[in-house]
Amino acid sequence: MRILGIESSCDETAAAVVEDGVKILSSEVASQVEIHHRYGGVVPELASRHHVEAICPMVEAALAACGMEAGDLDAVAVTQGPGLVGALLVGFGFARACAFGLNIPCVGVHHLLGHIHSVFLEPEKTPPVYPFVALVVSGGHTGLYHVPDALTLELLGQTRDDAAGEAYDKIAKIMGLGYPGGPVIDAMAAEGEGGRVFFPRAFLDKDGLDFSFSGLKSAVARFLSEDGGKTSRADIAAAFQDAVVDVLVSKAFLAVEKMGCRDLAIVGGVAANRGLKKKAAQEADMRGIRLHMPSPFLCGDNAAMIAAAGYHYLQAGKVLGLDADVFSRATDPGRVAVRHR
Amino acid sequence: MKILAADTTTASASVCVMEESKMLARRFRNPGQTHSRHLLPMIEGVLGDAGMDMRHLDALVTTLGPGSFTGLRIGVSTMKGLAMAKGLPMFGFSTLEVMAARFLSHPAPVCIMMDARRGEVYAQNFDVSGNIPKAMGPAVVASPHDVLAQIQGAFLFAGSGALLYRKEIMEQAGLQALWPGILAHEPDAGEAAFLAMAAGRDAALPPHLIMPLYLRKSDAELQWEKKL
Repeated sequence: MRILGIESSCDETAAAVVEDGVKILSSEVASQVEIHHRYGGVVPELASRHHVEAICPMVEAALAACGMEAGDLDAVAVTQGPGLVGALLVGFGFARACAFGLNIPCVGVHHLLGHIHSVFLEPEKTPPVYPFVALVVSGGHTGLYHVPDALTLELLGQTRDDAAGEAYDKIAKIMGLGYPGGPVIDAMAAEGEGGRVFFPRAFLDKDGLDFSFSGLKSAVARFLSEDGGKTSRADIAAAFQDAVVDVLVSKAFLAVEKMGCRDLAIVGGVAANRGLKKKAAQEADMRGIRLHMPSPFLCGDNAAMIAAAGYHYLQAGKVLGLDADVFSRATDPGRVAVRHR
Repeated sequence: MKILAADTTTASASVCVMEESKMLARRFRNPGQTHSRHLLPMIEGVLGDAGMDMRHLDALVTTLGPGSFTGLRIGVSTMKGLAMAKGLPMFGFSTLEVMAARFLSHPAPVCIMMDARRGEVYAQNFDVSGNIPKAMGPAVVASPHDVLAQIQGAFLFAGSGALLYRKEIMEQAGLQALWPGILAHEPDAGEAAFLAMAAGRDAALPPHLIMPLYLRKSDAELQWEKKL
């Protein structure tokens, strides 16, 4: 079963071919980082415009990379939401038409479920065992989910304000480090000493699984303006990163403990963060929990994860009608397999 | 040559199947809602009306805009997807040119004005006296005042912008405005299909070369330029 995956929910145009939900035959991503760089964040209209330009070249490249033609495909899987509506519509319109033209089924994948399936795509890594807990952490999302099976997400907790990746972007902007903030701050933090400055950790309700990052952002901004350049930027970056990572890791393992799971998956763009990876690995070791984090090429938005999740939609017969549409919000009722727990 | 054409650049959506000079089937709807839910069912329907399926087609045609940014992208992306699936070449035409094609053989030139909101119109003038529309100048996004200041004499006016600014057009000195019937103000895939037939099979392009025509930059770019 060879599935063409297509992803265009934010600022990456991606196409991939995945076999049986686990084997990547090809995976192509066109990033728009350069385009949005000067605006300090993703501009929806510009993202949509560039998806239209990139969609054909990405799909052609994904097919060519595995020596296939469109006629060899068995199904098409496409991100249906959540995401930027204008951006989603490009991939969604293209994918459904492609499947219609080929007379093969098309499935609409929940973007966050796609991210969770990124931990099933590396043959050298042992995949998680259901049920497991997943921390989805990126520029647009920060949430903890209980994952009882391949097609269900049960929301345990989520950010009440900024996503973790968004906090990185905002701090990078204040510090004049450019966009996206994650990789820059991660690299800078590795050069610094986290203990020289202390930023507050927002644990909110001690027993709760919600996050908040806006207070941290304000604390860093305040510190920067009061410090007047005395503390090195590397030390500030390290202290900021420590504060983010501490909260993410402790809430993730609290969720694992509450749900009585043995497996934790950390996925999404911020899962590529080295500070997070290190701290999560230490904690997993100590607690005897199996930790699953994808390699960096599968952390950011990609279409292989969409095709992987799409395989399970197909197995369950969740095929799109010709009159399907995209959705923008993660918790839009009735359309997705997400439920509150 | 058998072709499928679609237009979703304004509030209305239309699709048709044409074979040489013969219109085989055409569908139109103006629901004022997203085209995303309706375009593929319309395509399936119009192919059925024409007694065809995707395998019979030789090329695909889409309007490129200007118009609703999201609307035109739904049409362009959908037609690109169909083209990739079947290895079909594509034609893309400006929505302004497609609208002008309705008035062919009319002795007076036509000024197509589409409402671009913010007090502006997407506009272009065409000489339609021959067998295809000939552009008399570039397509612009501008205030109706600026568009009207450029023209004199007898002109046909068509499009949502022409209807919206009818009063300004009638009051413009030196203009003799001619008005077509009320059904001539929406673009239609039929004229897009006709333009493709007139251009001929050799003028078709691979789908990756078909690009939308926005005329107006994104707000982020406009604000950025203002800051510089």
